[in-house]
Amino acid sequence: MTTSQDAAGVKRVTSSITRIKRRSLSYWGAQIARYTILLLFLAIFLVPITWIFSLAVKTQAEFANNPLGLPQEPQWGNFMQAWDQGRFSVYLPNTIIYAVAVVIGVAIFACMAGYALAKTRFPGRNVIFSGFMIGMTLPFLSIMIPIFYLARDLGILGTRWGFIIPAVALGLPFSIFLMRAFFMGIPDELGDAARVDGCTEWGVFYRVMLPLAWPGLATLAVFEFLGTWSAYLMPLILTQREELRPVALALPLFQGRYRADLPLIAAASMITITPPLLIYLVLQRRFIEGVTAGALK
Amino acid sequence: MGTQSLSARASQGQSGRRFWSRYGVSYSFILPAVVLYIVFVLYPFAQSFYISLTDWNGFDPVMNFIGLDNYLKLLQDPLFWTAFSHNIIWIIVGSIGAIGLGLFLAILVSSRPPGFLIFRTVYFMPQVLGPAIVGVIWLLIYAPRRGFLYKVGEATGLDFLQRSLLANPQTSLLGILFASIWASIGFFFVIFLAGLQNVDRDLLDAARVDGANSWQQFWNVTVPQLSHVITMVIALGMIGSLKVFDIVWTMTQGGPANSSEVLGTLAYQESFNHTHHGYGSAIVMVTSALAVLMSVVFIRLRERRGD
Amino acid sequence: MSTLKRIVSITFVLLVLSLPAYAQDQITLLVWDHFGSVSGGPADMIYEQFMAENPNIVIQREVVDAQQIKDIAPTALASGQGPDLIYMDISDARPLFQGGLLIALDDYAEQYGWYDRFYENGLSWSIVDGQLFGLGMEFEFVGVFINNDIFEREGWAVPTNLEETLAYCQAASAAGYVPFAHGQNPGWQTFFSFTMPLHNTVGVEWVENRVFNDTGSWDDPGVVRAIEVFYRDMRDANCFDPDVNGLDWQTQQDLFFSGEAPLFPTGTWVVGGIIQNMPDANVTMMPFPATVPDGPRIYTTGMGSAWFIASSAANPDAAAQLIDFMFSDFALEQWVEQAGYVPPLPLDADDYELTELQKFVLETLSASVDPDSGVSLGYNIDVLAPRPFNTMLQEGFQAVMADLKSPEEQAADLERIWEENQE
Repeated sequence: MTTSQDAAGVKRVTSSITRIKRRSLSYWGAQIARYTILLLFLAIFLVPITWIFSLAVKTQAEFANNPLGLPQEPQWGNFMQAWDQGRFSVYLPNTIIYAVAVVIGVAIFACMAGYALAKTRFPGRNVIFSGFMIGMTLPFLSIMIPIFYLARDLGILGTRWGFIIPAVALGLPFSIFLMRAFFMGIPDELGDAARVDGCTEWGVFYRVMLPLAWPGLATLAVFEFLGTWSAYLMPLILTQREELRPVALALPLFQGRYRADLPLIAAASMITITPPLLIYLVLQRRFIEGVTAGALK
Repeated sequence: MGTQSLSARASQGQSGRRFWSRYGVSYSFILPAVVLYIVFVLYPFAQSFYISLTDWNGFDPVMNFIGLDNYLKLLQDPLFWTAFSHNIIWIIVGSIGAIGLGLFLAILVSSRPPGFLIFRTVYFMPQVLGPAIVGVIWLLIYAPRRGFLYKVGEATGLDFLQRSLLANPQTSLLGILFASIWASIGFFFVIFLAGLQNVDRDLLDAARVDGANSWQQFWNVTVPQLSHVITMVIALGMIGSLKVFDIVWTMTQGGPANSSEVLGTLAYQESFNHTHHGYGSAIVMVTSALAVLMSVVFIRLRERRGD
Repeated sequence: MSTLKRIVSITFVLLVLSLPAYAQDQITLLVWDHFGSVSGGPADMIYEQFMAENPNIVIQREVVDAQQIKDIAPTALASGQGPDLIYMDISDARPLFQGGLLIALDDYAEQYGWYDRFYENGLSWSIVDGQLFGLGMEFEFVGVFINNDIFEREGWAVPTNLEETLAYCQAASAAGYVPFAHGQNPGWQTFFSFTMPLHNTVGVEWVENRVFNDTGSWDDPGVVRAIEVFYRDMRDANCFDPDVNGLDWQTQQDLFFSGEAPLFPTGTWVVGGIIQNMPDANVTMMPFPATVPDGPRIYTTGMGSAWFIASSAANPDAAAQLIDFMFSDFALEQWVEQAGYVPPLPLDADDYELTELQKFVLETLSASVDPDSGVSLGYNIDVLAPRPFNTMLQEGFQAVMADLKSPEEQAADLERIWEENQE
């Protein structure tokens, strides 16, 4: 810090203190207003989730008569039952496999492609980039049935790859857009310096550029993980075999003809969102850093 | 060919090798992604386009070419225009609403007041749940007789809460939009938060010294600096609003009486319930074209105005 | 021959004789069904018993949710890698058969004697163009379930005609009940809120003529009146929850099970749930109240899901064998007692351990298909209608309930869609 910055800092602090002393009433009024709004939104976001959780541990009768209050005796057994009925012991590992595989696949291909689009020049660069951009606008419905027959023809229908490979392909447009933006934000000079030092192109990419683009990779991982975890239509049509299904397909199993067990549906929902929620709470700084850094480039 | 000089022919051979040595790395970096993309995205999309020119039912081995009939039918289908209008409402209310609220909340916490970490964690949490679960949660909130809002209304005597938004054709779309906004505020919130951190403090101070009040500071200094972020975020919002499907299908399947029908649910219903895959594909083609068109036009407009 | 040679040759002969046992190939049958929480248990037992009796057949069972199965069955069957045997709704399977994805079962019917075993009325639901394409297992009918305990407690009489119904609704809603546990979310419930008053208003013959003989039109004063009965008269008498368009199947059941709604207009598929959730309640069933003075009160029947064989099945014979086993005495006992299904063949209620309600369902259905009984039941039209017609039932009646559409308009639309989709 230079002395002029020191001086400016002191000036700022002093003037702030004077301002605080002067604007007592309207300042605190604004603070109260601000916190009221912030806390209101805190409630708006928390209450639905906690309510569902409280629902999940109630009996059906309690749900009918006392949906708002706390449960008399938490019915932890509901989770057991939901676990069995929703076949989560099969679906949950599948979902983890899919999410991890898709994240890895997209990460590898999108990083390489994003780097090439950002840092190198070659004929057709703009065309290829625009081609990928169009992919961001396509809804899955537009390719759902053709992908099904394609998977069948390629022999991957009814296997895990049948879902993983198309999922990776569909994750490419947005991820390439992201990584390209990140790589563009890294000064070319760093790459040039490495090349002068005798680094190969691959070395420049792998040792210099990629580590600097780490936040972008984090963003990519977050989006692809969440997207794959909650994917419904794609696995519905591509997995075919029950033992390959992810958790997103478990929820419909609770809306059957005979049972009207709303607490059970709530319990199943809770099980479905627990892994992403846990991962989020533990890694939330990464999540948020990833999202913001990505968006700003 | 024969009249070319030896040196010319030599440089042609050399330029071939030079081409590969110059561009080989780039192409090899980009090739896997391109191949995967063409095979699993572009080719199926082209097939979908062809399907939209047939009356295929999804499983017949034969497809009958019928030209643009599906598109003509689409233009005359009142249900299509209803669904389209709902997507427009979704763009305006849904994305602008979430974006506006996200920006607002980001401004409120940008100075990192006490509790910042908790606010940030909780505000982003709904994003982690996924559209289907969000739909289930809000279904239970809106449910007649059993829902959260109904019971709160019963307890507090606020009768209007006892009318489920999803049951009334005039409010069903709004109900779903609330759920969607609830889920997506967090996304825009964190983006704007980071964007605000990057706003030049000196400029803001200069403005304050010049006598600008908070509102003027915001509008004349902060917003222009966020311009690029705002453009990108609105474009993403528009595309997402056109593609929306999961949350609507989970909550109302487009009902009651088509009051929450969107292009995605209409296409799904036509393709799968009615096995009119050709027609369903046509709807999806139009949706995709609109998404591309809208985002390109919008981004061009902003670029011309801004930078 | 030396002793060694004798031993070798005997061993060789023994080996050759035992070869057929090894040469018998193992057949794998891939089965898709949607037996869930109540019927899943019995289904498992039946599959296992079949495998025990037929050791060379292995059943691979995949549970697919009923809603999902109709979305993914067409492509799965068309891919050639789908299930060999599939249990799904008849109305969803009919276009698949007409599209060549399912095989006709007439030869197997001959082989196993199905035409003799089953009621003709039971088989007719899965016959199109003279060909049998499925074997139905869930014969069901639709009416109104009554929680008699509530009526006793409140001192009300169960309504038998429209006038009494309207009076009952006013009284019940004033007392804080939901008079009828009806809901229209997502909308398939409208299939029955239409057919029940329809049959009572125009009679079974009229419906038969329209559906099977292509006479008459849905755009008919009788049809309009039927719609008015439910969607204007009953609605305006507070028979339904004001948010009926948003009330879903789960909540409907919950309202009845918890005693908040004394009457439940729906089909016999809920009997299993009623037994599970309100075992001590006095629940009976009646047809929909008469809608015209001295008019009929008709239960409407339909066949829910049925068994179908894929045309891509590698071993259709084994599949047919499994289907036949589904109606064996062993299996029937499981289906009837545990799952509450009523397959369409002659069943003696005394052979099984049943609750009063189950007995009643069984006896009513048996009487309906017995030509000598004099009981005539109506038709669940949705099983026979083209899909866009069913969509119009759902969306149209949601609109009618919300006053966005008049009964006349709905009747006209129904006729238009019916005609447009006749092949």
